[in-house]
This record gives sequence, C-alpha cells and structure tokens, in this order.
Amino acid sequence: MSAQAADLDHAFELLLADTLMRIEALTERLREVTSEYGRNVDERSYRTYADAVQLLALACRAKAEGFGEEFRSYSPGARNGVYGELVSLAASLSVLLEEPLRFLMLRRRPALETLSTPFRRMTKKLVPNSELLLFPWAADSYEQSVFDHSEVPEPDLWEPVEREYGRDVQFIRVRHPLLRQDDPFQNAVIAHEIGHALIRLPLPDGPRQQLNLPEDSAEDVITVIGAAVDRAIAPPGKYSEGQLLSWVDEVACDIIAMRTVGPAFFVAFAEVTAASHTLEPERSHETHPPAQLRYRYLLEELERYTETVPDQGLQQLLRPFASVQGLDETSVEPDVVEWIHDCIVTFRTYVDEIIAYPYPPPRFAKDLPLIQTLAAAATPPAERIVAGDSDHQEMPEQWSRQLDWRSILNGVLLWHLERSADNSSPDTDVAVARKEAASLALAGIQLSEFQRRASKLRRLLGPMRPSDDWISL
Amino acid sequence: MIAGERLLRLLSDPTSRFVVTPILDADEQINDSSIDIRLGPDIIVSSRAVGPASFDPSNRTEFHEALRERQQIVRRRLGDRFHLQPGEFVLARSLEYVALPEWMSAEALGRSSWGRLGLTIATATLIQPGFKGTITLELTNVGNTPIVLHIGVTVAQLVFNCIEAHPDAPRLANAAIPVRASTESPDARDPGPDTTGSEPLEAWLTSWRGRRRRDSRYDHQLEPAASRLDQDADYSWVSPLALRYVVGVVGARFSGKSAVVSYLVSRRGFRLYRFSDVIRDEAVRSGRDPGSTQVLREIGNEMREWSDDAIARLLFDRIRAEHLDPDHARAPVRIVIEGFRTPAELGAWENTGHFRTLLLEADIDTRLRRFAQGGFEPAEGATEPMPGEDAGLDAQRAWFEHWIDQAAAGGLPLGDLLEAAAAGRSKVRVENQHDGFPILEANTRSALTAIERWWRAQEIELPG
Repeated sequence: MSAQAADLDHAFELLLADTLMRIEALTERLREVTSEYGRNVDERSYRTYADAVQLLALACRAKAEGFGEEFRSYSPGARNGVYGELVSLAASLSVLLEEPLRFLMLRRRPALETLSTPFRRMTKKLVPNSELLLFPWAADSYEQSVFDHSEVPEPDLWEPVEREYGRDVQFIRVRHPLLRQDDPFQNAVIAHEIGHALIRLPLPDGPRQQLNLPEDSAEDVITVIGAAVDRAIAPPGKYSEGQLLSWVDEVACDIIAMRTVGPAFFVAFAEVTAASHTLEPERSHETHPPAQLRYRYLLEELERYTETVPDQGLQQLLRPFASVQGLDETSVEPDVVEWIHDCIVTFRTYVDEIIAYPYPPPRFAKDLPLIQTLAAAATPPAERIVAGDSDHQEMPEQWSRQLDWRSILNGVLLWHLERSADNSSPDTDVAVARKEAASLALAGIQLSEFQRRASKLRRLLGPMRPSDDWISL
Repeated sequence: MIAGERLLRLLSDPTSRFVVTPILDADEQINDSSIDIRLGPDIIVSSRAVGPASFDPSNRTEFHEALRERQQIVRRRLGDRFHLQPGEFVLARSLEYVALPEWMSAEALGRSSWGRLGLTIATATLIQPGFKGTITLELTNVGNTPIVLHIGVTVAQLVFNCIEAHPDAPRLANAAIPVRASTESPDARDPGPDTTGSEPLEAWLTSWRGRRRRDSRYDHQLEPAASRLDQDADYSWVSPLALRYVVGVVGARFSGKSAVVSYLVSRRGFRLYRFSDVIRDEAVRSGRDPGSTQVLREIGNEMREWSDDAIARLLFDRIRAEHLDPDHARAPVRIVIEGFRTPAELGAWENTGHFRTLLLEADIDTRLRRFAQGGFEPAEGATEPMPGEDAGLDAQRAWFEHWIDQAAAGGLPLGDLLEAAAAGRSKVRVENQHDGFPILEANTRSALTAIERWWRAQEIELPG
C-alpha cells in the first residue's frame, strides 16, 4: 500500500473515531437533560432518540471496521468517496444531537413542560411508533422535521435501529420559538407541526383502494391526493408542482390541527401569523400559501365546533381573528385556487380514515360551559364530578374524571377572549390578563394530568397490593 | 365541624362555591370529618444561615434579600421523593386547589401516621373564609430520622367549620348544630335527614359509604403504636417504578423457556425474578426447609389458598420495592419473570399495564424430542419409563402427555395456564419448533421489538 493510501486510511480512522466520540458524549448529555423539575418530562423520548442515534453511529463504525483487503486495494479516489459518505453520515448524526441539546440546555419553562406530556400522548396515537421531541430555538417560527430510515443513505446501517425499535420508527422533532414557549395557547401550533409527520405516512388501504392506487405504493398522502385530483398536477402559472403540493400540505395540516386541538389552533394561528407578517411583510410563499387561502378552510373547520355551541357569541368572538389586515390580497390565479380546493376536498373525503378524530366537537361543546364557569371563579379546571352520573358507567365508583386538556386550553382561552371583548374593566392590562389566563389553563392541565395518571395507575396497580394480613403473618 | 358526607354534597353542588380539586381518590381522602390533602410538587427549602443573616421584616429590602438567598423553590413531579432531614423546615403546598365560601373556614392538621414519624404541620394553618388557592403547609421534621415524602401522598387533613351566624350558611351545613329560633317549638330541633342530593348522587354516596374504611388503623391501641403509613393505598401508585416493562415467560414443558430466559438475562440485560423466590422466602420466614421441593410445593399451595394471585402480588411488591428509583439515576430496567402456574397469577400481572406474556410455542413432537435427547431424569412420580422408539411415536406421545404435560409441575398442571396465556391480550408468541438456538434467538428478538413498540406507544407515562 502506498504511503498516500495509508495516510488516507489513517485520516479516515481518526476522523471517524473523533466523530463517534463526540456522538457518544452528546448521547450521554442528552440522556441526562434536566429541567426545573429535576428530571425532564421528555426524558424517555430523548433517551430513545439518543440510543437510536448511537446505534447508527456504532453501525458506521462496524461498517468501517468491515472494510477488508479488497476494499483497501481500491483506488484512493474510490475509497475516498466511501470514506467521505460514512464520515458525512456520522457528522450528520452528531448534528442530530447537537441541535436539540444546544437549546435544551436553556431551561425550559413550565408552560411547555406541562403541555409536553399530552402532546406526546396525542402524537403516539396519531403516528404509530413515533417519538415526539420538542425543543426551543431562537427563530420566531415553528418547524418540524422527521428523522427516520429515509434519512440514512444505506439501508443496512438502519438495521440495528430496526431490530430495536422497528423499521418504521420516526423521531418527530418540533422546534418552537423560545419567546412563545410560556404561552400555552400559542403552543397549539405544535399540533400543526405534528400534522406534517402524520401526512408523511402512506394513505390507508381504504382510500387507496377507492383511488385505485397500487398496493405497494408508498407515496405519502398529499402526493397521492395531488395526483388523484382530476387535472394536471401543475396548473400553468408561476408556481411549481412542488410548491403547490407544499401549499396543500400546509392547508391539510391546518385541518389536522383544528381536529386535534380545536378552536385554540385557530386563535394561535391568527396570532402567530399576524406576528410573522409584522416581522416579515414580504414573506415568501415558496412553501406556505397566502393566509387568506388558509383562513378559508380554517373557518370551515371552526364552524364544526362553534355550531355545536348554541350561543352564537362564539362565532362572533372568533371570526374577527380571520381578518388579516395589510396582507396582499389574493394574488393566486383562480385555477390554482380551484385546484387546491379540489385537493382539500379530496383530502377531507378521507381525513376521517387518515386520522381518528381525537377532539370531536361534541366533547368541546360538553366541556365548555363547565370550564368557563370554573375559569370565571378563578378555579383551575381540572376535573368533572361524575359521581352518580349515569353516563359514567365504566367506572361507577369514581368521584371525578379528568377534563380533557384540549377542553381546558380552549375553554380558558375562550373565557379570556370573552372577558377581554367585554371590556368591562378597561384598565386591566391585557398582557397581565393573558398571563392570568395562561396560568389558570396550565394549572388546570397539570392537575387534570395528575388525575388521569392517578386514576389509571390506581386501576392498574392498586389490585396488586398484597393484603396487609399476608405481610404481617 | 362539617361531616365528610356533607362535604361531598357541597362539592357536587356548583352553587356552594366550595371546591377541593382534584380529589384523586375519594374513598381514601374523604373521612368522617375531614378531607386528606396531598403534597404538591413545589417545595420551598431553606438553607442554613451562615453569618449574621436573619429574617427581619422591619427592614423590607434586607428581608426580601434574605428570602431570596435563604429560600429556594424546588419543583418536582408526581411520585418524586423529597427527603426531609431532622430539624429541617420547608414550605410545601397542597396538590389540591381549595376554594371556601364566605361562611366556611378550614384548618390544616397533620395526619397521625406522619406525626408518629416526627413530621409536624406548623400551627399557623387556619384558612380564612373566602380563601382560594393551594394550601401552604409548613412542614418540620422534629424527629431524629430523615423522612421521605413522595409528591402526591396525603400529608395533612383539612377540617371544615361552618360560621353558623353567617346568613349564607346553608341549612345542610348547619344541620349538625341545632339552632332553634325563639318562636319554634322544641321539636323543631332536629332538621331531619339530609337528602338534598340528586338520586344518582345519593346512590353513589350509599355505595361510597360501603367502600370506604371507617375505622382508624390505630383503633384499640393500648400503648403508643408506630406509624402504619406503609398501609396507605397511595403507595401502590404514587411512587414511580423504574421499570421499562415486565415479560412473563410461559410455555409448556420443554418448550424452551429456560433458553429464552437465559438469553434475555445474559444478552439483553433483563433482570430475572422467579415465583419460587417468593415461596422460598416464605419457607425461611416460617422456619421450614427452603431446599426441599416438597416443602416448597406445600407452601406454594398454602399461599395460593390465601388468594389465587397471592404469590403474583407478593412478587410485584418485591419488584416494586427493589425498583423505586424516582431520581431515575439508572436506566429503567426490563424484567423477566418465570414460574407462572395459574391463570390468576398471569391475569394479575396482565392487568398492571407493565406486562407482556412471551408465549413459547412448540408442538409435542418437538418437546418430546428435546426430552428424549436431553437425558433428563425420569418424570417425578413416573412408574414406567418412556417407551422406546420401537413402541412407536403414538405411545411415546401418550406417555409424554401423561407423565410430563399433565403431571404436577410444581404441584399444578399447566394446561389452564397455557390456555389463559393463549387467550390473553398481552401475549406475544415465540415459535420454537426448531432445534438450535439461533432461530429461537431471532424469534425472541422479533418478539422484543414488538414489545418495545408497545411500550413506547403507552398512552400514559407509566412510572419509570
């Protein structure tokens, strides 16, 4: 072997070893991330993530160690190519860990700690075999990315992860703005980001058959729907096919967010969008459609909730949020709007099969009066007394049942908006009132989560307690 | 003082303005004349003063500075531990949010079980009418031994008093205190039975009266009794278990259980627990020979007479005690259990939510072959040896079924257990038809992947 070739091998070994050591250190750090509460509520998700990344790193090393004599006889150029790919992959693994760690070191505030558990629970139901990782970042926007087998260029490297967690395991990373993490109401936007992971999945069998699609097609929901709409994918105009599909994607995720967290998303969307337009008036529509287009569908989804509540005041309270001042009027060609509409109609046809409706309007309607009554009394809405309730037959001995966290979020937010609109106390600082409402909602959600956990664990573990008589024998 | 049942009625009436929320266990928390409250997740700890620092409210600036320096808020989660050292004083809050109407006051008192360990609740605990918020508890350990408090356990009780002269005090709250107007006849003293609740609520209250424990655990004591805090039902669910999940290996004899258990322990880092460990301990405790198979079988049968899931529950208690690691310093462990004998034992574990059954499957011919090739001792109690090959496979099967499958395996045939395992919702099948370990290992690995998926999909954050 020439000296140059030996140097190349040596350089590669050093670089790979250095990268893997860094990954190991980052993995350990990520496993130990703490919060104000001592241990991090997302600890389990981050441990799993760190373990998966480390398995990949070890697979890289095993692959490098498997380079035999035959490989070493290849030209330096050819070997360099393979080395480069492997080191590049290892380095990207390092970035996977660095990014969340960099921001998790900033202590997360109680608001998101409280919401993290219910969001994670909801995600696991929507996206099978997934882990949700929430971490703050400096930008004033919400973004998601998914780390799964498709990110790894060589399938054999994913095998250790597949053996441990299953091939389809996905790590859904949602970045949320640091400066908004204290406001539970605005964090409803996280539901939209989770929606992006959901629609990456292949279309379920039922809709697939109805659309006459091949069984083995792994295309995601939006791509399939875009292709199924009865016109050319890319209507002539200034927008590319990819851009239009991205717009459909965004609107679909808005619909998913409304159906997963309710009207709170509508308000959060309006507030976050208004803020971003203030900051970025010339916002590019490369990936996101104009706000007017999104509001069209958001208002339709909102009506599914508001029409369940007899008092029409809710509609009047929320509709003004949709009036987006100062934005460019719709500059999108009518046939593009029509094509997007056809896609969304198709999506809506199948959305009930894509996502089991986690937060149905009747639940919202049932819980709203109680929560608003409790909020008006400054009582954290945590539970509903069900003792003797004939609807509560599955646990007839139970005194109370936890309120749904989404009901608490929506109920307290709407109560807050109503009292702000009422303007009966014009001297009340709006920001202070908002903080009070946020604290009330978070307290209610925290207590309802305690109730949920206690109820389930008492039911599961209580019967296992040995009788005191046995212990004293 | 307002009685427990009346408190429940007031709580169920939204117009009463009386709130204690959430009540995680009405059966345990609502007493005859009080409501137990739980330790909340926020605690203010004080550091020892060094130098001339002091709390002097007359100097506002220094007072606030001293508070900032000397008192630090510590936030924990439900089930986490907090050690209260001898002589230490902390400010805690109740988990429950409390709201009192204008005609009601309350007092926060310590529970006797904690008092017997040295935990006291300070005296400034009168809660004024109209109060809203969580209750601040001033906790001090006046004993000589550190006390471990778990966030979420009941540490105090609230007793509620009616301000009888208040015009808003409802009749039912005053019913315990006869009030006779001057024009009323003496016979109007008794306000009659309290039946102000709805019919479903009344039915629930009737059922509640039957469920809850009425007697104090210290009743009839003639000398000071030590604390019986360990009997609190809270401890079965508040304390977290540092468990990932538990796997129970079940299968017919010679289906490969030992091989799977060995693989899980040596290659996958599982911790092994056996039913026989519990029985052996009982033998030692009762002064009998733990080395005798006959004795162990007798003890096992006796324990199953206490309750058909007694051993399962004692094993759970042992695992629980050895895996209470709320600081999560260790990675949550995975546990394998072997030695199930009855459907009730398996069912008890299946209901815990932590558990999956690994059901080993091998047909009779495969198992028979393993028995024959393994050189095992003749089946216990067998009065005839296994027929040789010349007798034919049917004869060997019949012998095997009679002397192996149906014979006493630890005193109990396994047929019912296997049937229950196959029908159970927590089962994961592992096929073991082939000789040689690699295929069994591969099948077991696949089963573990499925179990990992299940574990990570758990809806709720199970302890650990």
